[in-house]
Amino acid sequence: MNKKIFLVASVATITFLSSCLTSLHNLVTYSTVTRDNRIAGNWQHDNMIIKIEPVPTSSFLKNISSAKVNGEEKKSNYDSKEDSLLYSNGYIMDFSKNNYRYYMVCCLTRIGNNLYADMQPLIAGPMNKPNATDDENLFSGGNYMTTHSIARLVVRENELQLSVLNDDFIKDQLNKGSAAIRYEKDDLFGTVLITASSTELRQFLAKYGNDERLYSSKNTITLKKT
Amino acid sequence: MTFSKSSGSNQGMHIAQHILFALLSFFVLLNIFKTGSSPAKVDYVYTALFLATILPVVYLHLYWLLPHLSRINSVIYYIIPLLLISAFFIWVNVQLFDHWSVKLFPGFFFISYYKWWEIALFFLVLIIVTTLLKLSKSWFVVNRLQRQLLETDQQRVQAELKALKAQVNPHFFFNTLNNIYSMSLDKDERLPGTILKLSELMRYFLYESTEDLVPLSKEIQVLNDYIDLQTIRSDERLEVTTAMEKEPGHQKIAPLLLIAFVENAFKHGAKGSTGNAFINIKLTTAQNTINFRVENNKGVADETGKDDNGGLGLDNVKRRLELIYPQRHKLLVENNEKIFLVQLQLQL
Repeated sequence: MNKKIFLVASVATITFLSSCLTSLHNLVTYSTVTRDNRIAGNWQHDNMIIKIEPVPTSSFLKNISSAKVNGEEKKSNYDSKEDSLLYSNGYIMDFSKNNYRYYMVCCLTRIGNNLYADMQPLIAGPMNKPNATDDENLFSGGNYMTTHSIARLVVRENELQLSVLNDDFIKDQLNKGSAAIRYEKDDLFGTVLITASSTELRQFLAKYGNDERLYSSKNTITLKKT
Repeated sequence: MTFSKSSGSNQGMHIAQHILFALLSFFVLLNIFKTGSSPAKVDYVYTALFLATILPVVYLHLYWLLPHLSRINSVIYYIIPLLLISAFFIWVNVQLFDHWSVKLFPGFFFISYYKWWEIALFFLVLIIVTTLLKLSKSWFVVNRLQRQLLETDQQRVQAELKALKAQVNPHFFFNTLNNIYSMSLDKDERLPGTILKLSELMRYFLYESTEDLVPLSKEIQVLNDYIDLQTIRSDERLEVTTAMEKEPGHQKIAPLLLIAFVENAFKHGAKGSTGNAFINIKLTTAQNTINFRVENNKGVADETGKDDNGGLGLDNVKRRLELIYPQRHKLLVENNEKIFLVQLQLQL
């Protein structure tokens, strides 16, 4: 597995962060998901506006519903009762960048005193083609494997601070043999994919979530409410 | 897995065994816990911490609970402390991995990959393995001690038998030489023949009787020679009747066992009697059994069986019978006012 090349669609590759740690498994599950509607709204970072909506009332879901063929909803093979429970409590993050419109799903969970967001890219389609086909979706096809990015959220009045787990620090610890968490490494690109289970990720953050070495200023952005 | 209060080298060996056990456990656990294909630094720390919470349980069980088990009436008094100890160290394990290690090892990042019942299973496996090791070692130790005990007992019996035999010889020779001395004073013409027989007896006593067992035929011949020697010196009023087995076969017997009874009869029966004295000696064999009978009448105020030279004689032969033929002999001694009768049955 060490020689495998990961073509990972992570939050960092499509957004505003230089790098972030990617996980194969989601941090938040249907049994640990929580809601915090304080994050809903329009948020600004530099010149970019990020719209965050609860999934049930999101325009993204409406678009999917209107895309029903002959009144039948297109169902993914991966849909399940647990996923429904999870995503019905999640949020859709919607923003535009480089003429592409990106949608990400974000699920929240509380671990200790911290609020964490588990973000996963959904769709990235060209802005000038509202009815773009699946082929035009950047993340469709077999080349990309969507992963989860984990960030600690701090919600203040009109401010949302998002600190993604520090990829460099954790990679360094893994390379030094100082961290014991399941992972796979792509030696060609030097990327690391955390393969620990949801439970293990949760345990890890419960133990080290307050360790500031896990976050860095370059992986922290502050969004202003507009 | 046991420390003993034996020599320093044994203590060193025991410590080495414990270190080896700990290293082996560490190696096995390391290979279970490692997160990559080969162990990283953090895996060594993880394994050491895990082992540190198991070993106290294992050793408390081995050196406190397990020995305690043999002294208690109910197994509950074993199970409950074991559960309490295990529960405490499972709690320590969980706390150590979930909380304490953050401050103890700030340079390492790891979580506990096991739930409490999985940790309990690790405890259980190591407790079972170490208990089996201890029991198997104890079994070897008990076996060795039993063997040593048996050897020591055999050596003790041999030493005692040697000592008893050594008591017979001077006792007999002393009496016979007294007889020869008397004959020489009387210038008895039977003296050369007597000395010759004594010489034969000495050869037997000094060389052949050193064996554990001798042919019964040889022992009978020695008995006859001995009776001859004694009758030479005896009063004419003494009537000695012998009926010895003519063809005793190839059976073997402990040397100088029967002669003690005959010596006793001559010494006490014949000497102490004021009237006509008699000694009847009979030896018969049947398969592996010897029946030996010595009967004599008693003299006045005679205490048959007590020796003038320190109580040797019957006591001596009784002890030898107990040592050489335990559960395989019957000795009946009838001691009334007139008759002293000894009947011995031996299973060869």
